Amino acid sequence: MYAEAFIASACGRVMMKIKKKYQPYMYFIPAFLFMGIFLIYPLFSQFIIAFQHYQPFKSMEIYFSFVNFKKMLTDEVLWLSIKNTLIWVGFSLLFQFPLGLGVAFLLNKKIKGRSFFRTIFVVPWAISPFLIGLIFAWLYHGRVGIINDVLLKLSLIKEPIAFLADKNIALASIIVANIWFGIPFFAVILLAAMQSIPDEVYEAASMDGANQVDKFFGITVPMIKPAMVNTLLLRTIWIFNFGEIIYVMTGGGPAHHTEILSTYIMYVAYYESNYGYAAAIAVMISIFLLGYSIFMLRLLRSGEKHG
Amino acid sequence: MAKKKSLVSKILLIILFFLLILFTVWTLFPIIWIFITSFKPESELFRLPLKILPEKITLVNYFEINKYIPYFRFFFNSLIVSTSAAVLSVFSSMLSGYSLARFFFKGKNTIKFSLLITQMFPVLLLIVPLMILLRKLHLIDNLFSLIFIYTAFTIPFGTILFEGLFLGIPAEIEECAMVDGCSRFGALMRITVPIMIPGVAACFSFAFIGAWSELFAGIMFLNSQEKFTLPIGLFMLIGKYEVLWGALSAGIVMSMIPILIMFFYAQKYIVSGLTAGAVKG
Repeated sequence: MYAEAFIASACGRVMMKIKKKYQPYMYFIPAFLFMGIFLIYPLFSQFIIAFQHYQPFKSMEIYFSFVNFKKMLTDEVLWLSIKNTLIWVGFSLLFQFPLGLGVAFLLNKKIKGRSFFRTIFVVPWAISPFLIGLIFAWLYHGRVGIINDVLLKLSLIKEPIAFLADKNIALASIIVANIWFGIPFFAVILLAAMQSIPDEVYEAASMDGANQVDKFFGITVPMIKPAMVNTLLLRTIWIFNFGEIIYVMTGGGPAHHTEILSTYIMYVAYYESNYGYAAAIAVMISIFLLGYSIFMLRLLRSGEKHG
Repeated sequence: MAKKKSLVSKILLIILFFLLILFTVWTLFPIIWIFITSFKPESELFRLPLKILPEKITLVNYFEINKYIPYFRFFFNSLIVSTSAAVLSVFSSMLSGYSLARFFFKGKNTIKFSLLITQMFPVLLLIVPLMILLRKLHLIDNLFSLIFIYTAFTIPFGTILFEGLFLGIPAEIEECAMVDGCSRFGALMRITVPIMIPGVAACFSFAFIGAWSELFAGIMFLNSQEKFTLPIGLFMLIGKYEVLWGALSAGIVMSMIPILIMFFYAQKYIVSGLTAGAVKG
């Protein structure tokens, strides 16, 4: 009888041990099911598709070729998209960041109604990008848009401007919409960083006779530098991929003049049904962004060690 | 001296307020404008010179939109897809976030790192492999495809959010329940989760807003009109007709309502979830 009990308890202990060892992983089962099938598997299978000449509704010929990557070299629209992507990311950040920093600075002052302003300023976050695209398309309307109307009334222009149909200004017009959308993001995150600076630091500086400007560049900026770098790098990736607003406003047109890489993927996949080529472009972007984000995380980690 | 300083600071304060109000106008104007537009009759929309306020307030746009697209059908589809995706996402990320917060195990850092990386991939970048996968699974033109995809793409952020929430709740309260004979899972469900209902709601809202806003996967993976989600429906309205801005503006306003409500509720959590990562690095 004792032997039985001993064996039973030994078995129980082994079971417990196994359970304990694998328990942490068991909690990942649902997450892994969804992410494994619909995120991680596609992420890897894309690399294979990129090397195939894949066309839908035909039996897939499995072969390995660089045809898609060769096409990239001679595809003028792709190069235009790359150029547009760089302009899109660069100019969006160029305005979003300083303006966001400025708003954060204003909100960091102890004033009445601060939380009210803060709540108002994050409203753009809540609105779906495709809705923002639609709203701005209406503001930019070539005949009865309010922006044209105001400019006409102020006599700044004589004829209404076709903001989204003119290939020279369409991209700039969309960038303005994106700037509107992105300022709150910087503002809120930089404000959080500013608020983590203890008041004592500023008080000490005041005692030493520092003025507002000294304090801003001598204390605030250096202390929120990690958050600034971090946000800028994260945001770069995000804007890089942010195609909805463009897709809704111009569909990449006129004549691909507002096409960025992510809208071009949609164009190639949806209108041209050239899946292999679309996958190849996506692979290039993925490799670029992956390299970029690993570099970025390294950079931040090394910064942490010093700090 | 003291008086002079207070005068300067008063002027500064006025400038500060002026700038903040200026920025408030800049931020709210597009939204207010679409709101006003939705109450104007079509004849006023295209009549120059423009008037800011409608001469005659009308609800006709809100009723008319159904003539052009089955708006409420699309609204309902979006509601189903977003709610299901959010529920699945909350469930999955709660469990994985719990594991990250409460256990030490091999590969934990690898998992965290992968989550950070996958978070950066939007649906769009994987649109082709997803298309081919869905064909194999016979899920094309099926709302389940969108539900599963949106779930998968919101889990990384959800997990990171939940890890933070669990770390903020002492493990002792679960341990007490476990001493009293509750299983670990039971303790999680009965003790911890009820405490962090606000956090759960925030994660739900985040996933819901994400699913509500997604356009590309919908365009790519759905074919029959009765299955379309709201973004595709409104997008159609631009391409299909000489844009009916009156109806469209009403459609835009109505589709903003659910996400605005959720966002204002969950704002604090979403913001702190996003800032925690960025500020601490």
